[in-house]
Amino acid sequence: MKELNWKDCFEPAPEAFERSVQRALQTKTEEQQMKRIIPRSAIIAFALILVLMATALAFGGDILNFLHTKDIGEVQIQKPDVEVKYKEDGILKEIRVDEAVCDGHSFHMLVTCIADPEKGALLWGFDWDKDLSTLPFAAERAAAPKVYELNPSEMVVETGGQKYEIMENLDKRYDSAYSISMDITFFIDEMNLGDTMTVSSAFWLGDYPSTENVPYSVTLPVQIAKARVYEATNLPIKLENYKVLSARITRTDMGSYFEIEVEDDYDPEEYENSMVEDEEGCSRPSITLPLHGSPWFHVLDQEGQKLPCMTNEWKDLERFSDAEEWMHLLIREMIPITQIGSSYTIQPRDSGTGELFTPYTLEFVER
Amino acid sequence: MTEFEFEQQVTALTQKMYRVSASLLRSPQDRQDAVQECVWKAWRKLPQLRDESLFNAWIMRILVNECKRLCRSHWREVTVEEIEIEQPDGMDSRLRDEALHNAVMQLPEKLRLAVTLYYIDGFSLRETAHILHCPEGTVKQRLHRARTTLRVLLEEEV
Repeated sequence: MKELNWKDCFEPAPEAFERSVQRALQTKTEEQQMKRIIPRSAIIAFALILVLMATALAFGGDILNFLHTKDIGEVQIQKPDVEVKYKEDGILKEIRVDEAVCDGHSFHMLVTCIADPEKGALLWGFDWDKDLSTLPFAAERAAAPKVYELNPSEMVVETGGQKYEIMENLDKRYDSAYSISMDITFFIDEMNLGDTMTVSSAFWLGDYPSTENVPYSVTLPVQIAKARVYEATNLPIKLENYKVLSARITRTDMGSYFEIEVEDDYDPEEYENSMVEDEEGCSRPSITLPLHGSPWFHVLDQEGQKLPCMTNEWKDLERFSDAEEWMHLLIREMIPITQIGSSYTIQPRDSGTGELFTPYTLEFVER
Repeated sequence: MTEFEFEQQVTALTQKMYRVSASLLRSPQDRQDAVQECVWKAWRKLPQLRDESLFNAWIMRILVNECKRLCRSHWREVTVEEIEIEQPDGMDSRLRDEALHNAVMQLPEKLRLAVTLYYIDGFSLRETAHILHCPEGTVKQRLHRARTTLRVLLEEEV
């Protein structure tokens, strides 16, 4: 088969791919300090669904509004003074920060971009390939003199000398044909009281390919809410598809953070010895590692209903960095509840196949 | 290995990295994500690489792992519709042998990867075995099986 023209089997690498390699080389040192919150851009869609579900369930369809939540704990986060900088001419009439708050565990911001109706309507850039007639405010947008694409780019938050990419933690909502609100909720592990937090970004706005760069930044003081920590007492346990090592809830007056540590439970030697040749002549393991699906979990309330999730994270703990197959994960969800019960049920789920596994009730005590 | 040498070696591997990622991932964005993670991870782990002559195979193994990791991540589950509307991101399919490409892409993943590394990227049997983390004999078997399958697929094409 060497006689085949193998070199023509794939097209040359596109420029975008080459740029990615060069960009990775240029940023390789910075990346060591950069915590990639959720490093996969495709999680946007997943996060959108979860956040929209959470919003609908928790707030009856209203936009998230933690700042207006009252009587939920002994520590109340104050609405911070927010400094917003942006270029005030061009297509956008206003960039408004409706909410910006952090509690020491996560950061939440609601930004609204409003276009000048005389100039044109706004379209979320990622909606460009959709049927515009199916989008909210389609008639108004169709009647507008122009439609400009709004594309967020290079969204970064910086605090305490650390940079966090937040592009993946972005949700959006059309308020009208001329207004788009962006909801950003994401985890930050290290926040220090007295620091400031600056979210900087830019919008590519325009009638492609003629675009205008609209940079803006939002700065606010870091606040640390008093947290209560609850730990599960009836762990570790081997469930039917993986092992749950520990579980913890950290509760502030913004919400509750469920963290569950899970890992494959298998014998590496047995796994290696299980290699057999299949009918295609390939060596394959005859046993499958438990986490080779897409592990996730739902947190259920006492009625067995799934609690809404504001944002989530899936971290490789990589206790053995070279482990190719074995997985050890921390799954984290922020759930907008502030009254913690003594028990919660988790339902393991393979989010790839949708398969649900036997629920398990965790008993929590305050640490 | 100095930083300059690392950058030179990675740059020289760009085309091979593209072919490996393209053989495992359909989405151009996923390929870019995978290669970026690979480069960052390789740079972090570079001090662990004792034998620099293994650099090419070593970094390709990291790339394969990153691609597989993306494949099995639940948020990488894309629907057929999403694949169909996916933009080729500057990819020019006129510059490839469509029949051969389609035949290779129809191979099971393990065979496809072995073919890409050995025949297309030109890695040796030993290097291919190292990248795939399997014995050389297994690579030979996969290549043999791939050739047989490709022959059938290409004859059907003709």
